[in-house]
Amino acid sequence: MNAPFRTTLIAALGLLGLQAEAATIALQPSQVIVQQGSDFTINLVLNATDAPGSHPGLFGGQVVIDYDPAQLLFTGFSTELNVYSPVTTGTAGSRSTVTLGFDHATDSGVVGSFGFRAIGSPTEGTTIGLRDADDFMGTFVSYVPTYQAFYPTALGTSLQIQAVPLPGAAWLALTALGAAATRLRRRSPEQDTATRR
Amino acid sequence: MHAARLALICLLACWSFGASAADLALQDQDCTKILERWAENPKSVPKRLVDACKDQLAQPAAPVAAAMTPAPAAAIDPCANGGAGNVLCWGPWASLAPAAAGPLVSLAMPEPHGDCDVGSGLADRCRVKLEAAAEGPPGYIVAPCDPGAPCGFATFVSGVTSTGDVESTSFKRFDLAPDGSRFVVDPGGSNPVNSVAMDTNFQWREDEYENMRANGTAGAEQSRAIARVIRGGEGEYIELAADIWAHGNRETRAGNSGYFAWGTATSASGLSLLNGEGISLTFAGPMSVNNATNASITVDFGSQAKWTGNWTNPAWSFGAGGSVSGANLLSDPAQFTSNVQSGSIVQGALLGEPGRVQGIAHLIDVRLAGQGHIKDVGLLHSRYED
Repeated sequence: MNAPFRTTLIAALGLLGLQAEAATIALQPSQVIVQQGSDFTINLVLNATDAPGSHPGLFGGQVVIDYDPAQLLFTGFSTELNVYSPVTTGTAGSRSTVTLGFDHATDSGVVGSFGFRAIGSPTEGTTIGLRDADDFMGTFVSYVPTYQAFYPTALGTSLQIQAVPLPGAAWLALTALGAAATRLRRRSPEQDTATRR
Repeated sequence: MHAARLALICLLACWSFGASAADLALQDQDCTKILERWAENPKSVPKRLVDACKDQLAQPAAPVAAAMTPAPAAAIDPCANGGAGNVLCWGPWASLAPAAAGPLVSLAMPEPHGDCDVGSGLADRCRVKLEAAAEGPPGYIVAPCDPGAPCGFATFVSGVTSTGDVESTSFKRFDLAPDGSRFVVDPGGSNPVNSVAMDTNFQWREDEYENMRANGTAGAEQSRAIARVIRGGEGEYIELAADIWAHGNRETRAGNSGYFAWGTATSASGLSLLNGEGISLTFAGPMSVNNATNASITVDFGSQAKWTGNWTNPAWSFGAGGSVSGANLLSDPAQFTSNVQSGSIVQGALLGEPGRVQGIAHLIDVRLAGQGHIKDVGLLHSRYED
């Protein structure tokens, strides 16, 4: 089972409400259907209400997202939190990755936003995977009052790239052209009849 | 192996049948080497061997023959052909010559337990179980700290999550490089855990600490230390550090981890100053394994320095007190609160110098009535008030 499929499965289970009462780090797109060529964002959301330590507390960790570079173009990451490990792009097989480490996140909320542009052809679905940057020891830590590690469930996401719909004026123009074409076809046999008279 | 066997038989024979002057000289030379090694590293030689050698060298000097190396186990019998008076007439020969001098002061020979550690200077004849040195004197959980030397304590569990069952949690000494790039768990012990070289990253916190993330990989080996730190020298070195350590193998997924508290033990001059002033200092902070537990220890310095402390958790609390020896704190069983069961120990060490950042690294290994067994490590912090 490859990582993107696993994270998608976990995301699906999460959406179905089968997620355990544990800390989570999740990707939440601004829209699940994006138009071809459009820009959109995906929020990185932490829920550490069940993490060890004091609450409200402070938390940090390092994550890696992966996506299909034929479908999506990464345009940047924005956050108001401290980034202790800079945003770094890379590859993992046929997929592209973005890695970053953040600090001083609160119990729950948006850590930051990934910017993307949908550059691929319309598809039924393209996945964005998410995992802890260290799959052995983990990177997530509760900082208050002392440091204790915790292991949030990582939830990726998926979205659909849709063809750009025609605007209403274009439909009217097409409709008018179609009507005109129909009239022309009807008029041509009548003129022939008049001429023959 | 021949030399080791010969030397052991030699020493046992001398012990049983007396010895020649040459043998006495050999014994004194052994003790000299032993005491030299002990002076370099007190933890490298068992205390009972040190005491025995001190007694040995305190005896009036016997006539010493020229320094000799142990006779090789040759086929030639030095006792034969009228060689009974030969100083080499001892050892694994059928007829052992009587000693030319008085009986040797017997040494407390340790039980053989495999080879000595390399560098002990005794590898050719002594098979000392050096683990005893790492455990420290009776009453201590781990070896106590030397004034002015790096000093840290850690919990030790299987796995890399730093948490584990209390009964399978052990305590070790812990050492951290001043820049945070390496650590050693159980230094000087029989099976130390040496981290790989780690890259460090320091970030701000809203309290007096900084946040240090240290991570490193070397092949399949991986280490990390995530710690609250207080740095000195404008960030050039770490003075106090505490919290998470881990070391393991990414391929096998096996490893060990725990929590730690570390600093530099207060120097002898610093202790003299504190004891001379006769002041009291209070150190407080949360524990690391269960950070819902808050600890507070007050040290009353003076000619007979002592300490008292209390540990408070939402589910339990207890108090303790004891003595201060050098930089070390050790609980007195008679000073525990009534809910503390026998066999419980609190061990700590004073860190830092007067006028600078000071702290206490300490371990608690207590059994509380109705609560069970509690093991924890904590770094308590106090800033000296001018």
